[in-house]
Amino acid sequence: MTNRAIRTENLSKQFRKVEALRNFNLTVSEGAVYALVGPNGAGKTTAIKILMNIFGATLGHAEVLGTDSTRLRGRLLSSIGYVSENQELPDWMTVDAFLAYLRPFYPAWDRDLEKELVRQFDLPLDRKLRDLSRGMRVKAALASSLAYHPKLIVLDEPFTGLDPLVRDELIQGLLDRVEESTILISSHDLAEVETFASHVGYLEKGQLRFSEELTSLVDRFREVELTFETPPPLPKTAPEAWLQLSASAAVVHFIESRFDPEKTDQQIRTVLGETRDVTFTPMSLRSIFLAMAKSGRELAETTTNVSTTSAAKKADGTETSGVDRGGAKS
Amino acid sequence: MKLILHIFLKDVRHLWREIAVSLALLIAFGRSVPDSWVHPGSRGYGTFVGGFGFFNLESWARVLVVLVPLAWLFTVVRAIQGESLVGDRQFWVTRPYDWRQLLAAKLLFLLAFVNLPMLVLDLFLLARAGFAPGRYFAGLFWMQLLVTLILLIPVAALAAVTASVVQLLLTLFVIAIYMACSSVLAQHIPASNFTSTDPLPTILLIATPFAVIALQYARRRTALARWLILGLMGALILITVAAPYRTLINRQYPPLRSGEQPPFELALGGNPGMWQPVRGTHPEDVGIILPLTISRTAPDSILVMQGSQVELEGPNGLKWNSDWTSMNSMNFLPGENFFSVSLAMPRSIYDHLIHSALKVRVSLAFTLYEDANRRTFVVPPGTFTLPDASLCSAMPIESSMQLGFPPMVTCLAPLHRPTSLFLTLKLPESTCPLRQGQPPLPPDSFGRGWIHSSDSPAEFGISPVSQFELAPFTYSNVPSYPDSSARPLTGICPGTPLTLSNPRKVRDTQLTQQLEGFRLPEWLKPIPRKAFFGNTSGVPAASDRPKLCTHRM
Repeated sequence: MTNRAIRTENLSKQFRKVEALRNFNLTVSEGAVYALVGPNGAGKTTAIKILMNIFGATLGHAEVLGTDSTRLRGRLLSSIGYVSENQELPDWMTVDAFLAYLRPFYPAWDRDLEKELVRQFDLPLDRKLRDLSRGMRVKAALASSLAYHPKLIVLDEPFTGLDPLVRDELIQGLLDRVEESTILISSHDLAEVETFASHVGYLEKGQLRFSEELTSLVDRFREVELTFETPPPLPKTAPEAWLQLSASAAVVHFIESRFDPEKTDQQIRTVLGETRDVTFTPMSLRSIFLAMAKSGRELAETTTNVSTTSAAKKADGTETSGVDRGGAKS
Repeated sequence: MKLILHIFLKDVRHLWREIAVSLALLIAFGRSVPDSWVHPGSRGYGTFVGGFGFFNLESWARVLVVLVPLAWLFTVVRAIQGESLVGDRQFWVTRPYDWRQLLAAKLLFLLAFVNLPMLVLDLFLLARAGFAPGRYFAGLFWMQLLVTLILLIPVAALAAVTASVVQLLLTLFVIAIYMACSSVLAQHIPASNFTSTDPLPTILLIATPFAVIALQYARRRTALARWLILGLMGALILITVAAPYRTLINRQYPPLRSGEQPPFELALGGNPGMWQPVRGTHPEDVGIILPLTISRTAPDSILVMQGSQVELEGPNGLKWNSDWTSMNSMNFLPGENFFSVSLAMPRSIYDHLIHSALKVRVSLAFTLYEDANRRTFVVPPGTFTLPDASLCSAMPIESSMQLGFPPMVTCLAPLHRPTSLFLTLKLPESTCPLRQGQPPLPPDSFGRGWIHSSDSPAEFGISPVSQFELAPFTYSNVPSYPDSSARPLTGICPGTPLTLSNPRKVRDTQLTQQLEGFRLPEWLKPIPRKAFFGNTSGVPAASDRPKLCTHRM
C-alpha cells in the first residue's frame, strides 16, 4: 500500500461572497503525477495555495506529506518544490545569485543536479531574473525547486503562455524527476498534461468533479455514433452516463462516460432499439473535458464522490475504477 | 545563525544603495552638527546661526536631522518588504524560511544600519563636543531605545502590513488624516487636551506595533494585523472620547488637603490685553478673558501651571464650567504674576450671565518646585563646566548684538539639557559693557531664567548633544523703554556673578479658589468667525507665548 502525498477533506475556501472551493476532497498517492485541470476560476490555484499554506482554508483539512498543511512552514518546506505562473521572484538577483541564495536553505541541495538543470534548461547564470523571458523565469524557478530532490513538486499553471519548446523542456525536466517525486500540477493545457500525467482531477466551480487514473478515464469515455434505419425517437430521460445526446436524421450521437462494450451495447438496444451501425471512438483528454463542460455536468454530480475516493484506492491497488468497465475497446 | 547571516547579507547586497545614502547623510549630519554649535572651536561660534539661509550651517543640520531618520526608515521599510509579508505570490513563503530567523535577520539589519551608525555618530558627537563618551553609554542606549520605539518599530509594523513603499505612503497619508480628524475631535471633548494623565494610550501605542510585527512574521495574518492597527486607532478615539479626564486629573493633581496653606494667592485682575482669545469649538461661542494674578508665592518656589478649570456662577444659581484645559506648563516665579485664561462660552449661557456680578471658581492644576542648591557662580572667560556636566562659554558680544539678544552663555549638554537649572542675575552686577548713552539700571533690577527638561536618561533625538542658552528670560524692576534701541543691553559676560540653583519637584497638586465680582462685559473679546484649527486650551499656543509669565516683585 502506497502512502498519500496529499490528502484533503472537505476543503472549502470563501473569499467574501465568492466560494472558491467547496468540499474539495483530493488524494494524491506518492509517486503519482497528478494533473488538476479545469477552466479558469475553477479553484485550482486556491486549492494549491491552501495545500502550500500560502493561505488557510475556511473549512476542512489538508495534509501534505503527512503534515497538516496549516503547519507547513520552515524546515518542512525543504522537501517540497513549488512553482507558480505568477510567482514573484527576487528580480534584482541574477540566476546564479538566486540559486546560490537558496542553497543554504536546503540540506539536500545537490550542486551537481543544479548544474545539470542549468545546462538542461539552458539558463543564463549571469542574467538578472527581471531580464529573463517568461519561459526562462519559469525554468529558473523550476530549477531552483528541483535541485534539492523534493519529495513533492507542486506546479501551478507552469505552462501558461510558454512556447512549445519551453514546455517540452519543462516537461522533460519533470519527467526526469518522476522516479523520486510526487508531482501535482494544475494546468489548462490538457494536451501537455495527457502526455505525462498518471492521474487527473477535474475541478469546476470549486468542486472536484472527478479524480482518477488517466488511463481509466480515457478508457471509460467514448464518442458513440449510432446509425438507424429510420430516425429513432430520443428518450425523454437518457442514461445519466450519456452526455450530449443528439440526433441528426437517422444518426444519433452521444458521449458514453461509463463505457463497457457489452453493457453499453445492451443499453443502446434497450433505450433506442436496434441499430444499423455502431461506432465507439476513443477520446482525447481535451475532448473528454470539452464534453464534460458542455454536458451541463450532470454526470459529474453523481461521479465525484465515488471517483475521488476510488482514485486513491486504485493507486493502492485495491480497486481499479469507480465504475465497472469491461475490457473491450472499439 | 548561519541562515540569519545569509538573509542579512542578501539584504545588504540588495539595499546597498539605500544603506550608502543613509550612511552618507549620517556622515553629513555628523559634520554639520558640530559646526552649528555656538561653542568655542565650532564654525558656528561667533557667527550668526539663527537664520534660514540655504547655506546656513544650522539650516543644514536642521534639514539633515529630518533626512537621516527618513533615510533610515526608507531602508528599514525596503528591508522588511524585501520578504514581503503581504500577499500570496512571494517566492519565499514556499521556501524553508524559519520566521524567527527571518525576523532576526531583519533586526540584525536594523541594528547594523540604524542603531550601530547612530551609536557611532553619538559617540563621535559627544567626543567632538568635549565630553567623555564612555561615561554616557546608559543614556546613549536610552536614546537608541526611544528612537527604536517611537520611530522604527511603528514604521516597521506598517511595513509589515503593506506590500510596497507606495502602499506604505498611502497608509501614512490615511494615518495623517486620522490624526487631523482626531485633533478636531479632541477639540470638542472637554479636557481631552490635558494629556499626560492617562498612560493607556502610550502603552497601546508601544505594544500594538510589536504585536503586529510578531503576528505577521509568525503567521502572516495580514488582515488580522491590519485590524489590530485599526483597533488601535479606534481605541485611541474611544479613549479620547470616553476617558474619565476629571478623575485622572484629580488623581494626578490631588487637591490640597483641607486646612493646608495654599502655596500662592490667586486674585482677579491684572492685564487682560496680554493674551489673545482663541476660537471656541462653536461659531456662536463668546470669547471671555479672565485676568488673574498670582502672588505671595513662597520665595523659593516655582509653579508650573499644567491646567485650569473655571466655573462661573450667576446670582440665579446658573453655572457654567469650562472644564479642564491645558496651560502648557506655564511657569510662575516668586513675586506677582499676571496671567489670564481665555474662555469660550456658549452665547446662550453668556446672555443669561451678562448683567450679573459672578462668582468665579478657578481650579489650577500645577507642579510645585522648590529652589535648592543655591550658589553664586562667577562666569569665567573661555569654556567652563557647570556642575551638571554642561560645557559652557560666554557668547561673543558681537554675536549677541547680531542676534538682538543680551549677551548670554551658550552651553552644550550631554544627552539632555539640565533637568532643572535656575539662574538669577542682578542686572547692575553684569560685567557686560554698557551701550553708549545707556541709562543706569535700578539697583534692585534683576533677570531670571529657568532651564528644565524631563529627568529621563536622554532626550528623544539622534544627536546626544543638546545646546541651550543660559540667560535671563524675564526681567524685573526694569523700566520700560519705548525705543528698543535705547533698551539697556545687559546680560552675562565673563566676570558676571550669577546665582544658580537647582529647583526640585515637590509635588503635583490642585488649588481651587472662589473669586467674587467678575462681570462678563468687561472682559469680552470678539472671536473671529473665520474657521481655523485653534488651540482651545484657554492660553495661546506654546510658540506664541513667552516662556515666563510677566511678574513683579
